[in-house]
Amino acid sequence: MNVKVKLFGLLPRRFPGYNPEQGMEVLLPQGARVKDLLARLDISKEEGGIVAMNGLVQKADAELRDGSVVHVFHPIAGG
Amino acid sequence: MAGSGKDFSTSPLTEEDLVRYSRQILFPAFGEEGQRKLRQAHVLIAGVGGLGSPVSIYLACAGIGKLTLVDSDAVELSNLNRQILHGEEDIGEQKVMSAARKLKKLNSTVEINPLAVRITPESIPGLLRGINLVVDCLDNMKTRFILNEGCVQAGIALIHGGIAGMIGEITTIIPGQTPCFACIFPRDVEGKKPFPVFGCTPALIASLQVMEAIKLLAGFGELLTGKMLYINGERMECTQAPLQKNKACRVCGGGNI
Repeated sequence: MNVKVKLFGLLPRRFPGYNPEQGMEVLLPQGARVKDLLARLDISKEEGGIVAMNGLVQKADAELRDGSVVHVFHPIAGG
Repeated sequence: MAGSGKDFSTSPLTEEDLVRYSRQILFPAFGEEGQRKLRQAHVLIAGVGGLGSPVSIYLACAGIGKLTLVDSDAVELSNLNRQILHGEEDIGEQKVMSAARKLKKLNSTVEINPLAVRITPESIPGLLRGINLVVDCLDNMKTRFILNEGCVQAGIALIHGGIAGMIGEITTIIPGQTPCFACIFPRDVEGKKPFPVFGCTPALIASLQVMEAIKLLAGFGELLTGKMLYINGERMECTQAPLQKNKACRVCGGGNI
């Protein structure tokens, strides 16, 4: 299945050519969960990767749906 | 300074005030009423480093009645590329004292309350007593969670800002109405310290935090609620991520995620 991923904060720079207007399509196996997407994007648990759908932060074992638009971000902690 | 005697917050605008703030009073949605609301406000600035320096400068210059500055650190040489309230002669001094001295020079009519203390679960209820608004200028997640929880419990609005390199994020949190910091970031994750940063990055995010503070206190405009604004100075891009309150939030939703 395909999900459309929009990246925020420091994450877009990891994906050369990433277009913030369009996001990017990520191909995942059927039944993939939030943690599978983070693993595919190579975002470790220590980095605090957050996946949100319609603005709602999802748990790591939440199932993704084909065609979903997901927002992925992590805290920017400096001040 | 604290305990300087005169309570500026309740006194009417003077002739001098009307001149000093004339250019912002000219703003139609703000006017003298907006200026009076700023004069009556007591704002807590958590951290007077990269974000806290410009936040406190612009809030002092805008005529906030009372500013409480909270930071337990002393000024270091490595701070000076971005922490513009502090200079070479301040190295070794408590940041809040260095900051208070400069802010008083910028605007002697603002009451400055410098507190060189740590924000902890024990200290936060006392720190927030009498506060109308909190600006998050902290440099770590752990203290942000404590600040967020204190603000949610006390029902005080919190303007969050965070920076790294040339990238910054900002959102305005209104307890009970918007997602809180723990709705957005359910888990405590610590970033790498020291983090890379240019001085212009906190300056930019701090200016946006002050815009939010002025609008919130004076009651006009649209607030940056229910979304995180990201500004990427490396690519000169602005993006927004929508955010929702999390019913399972351990701080404001009454449960565990």
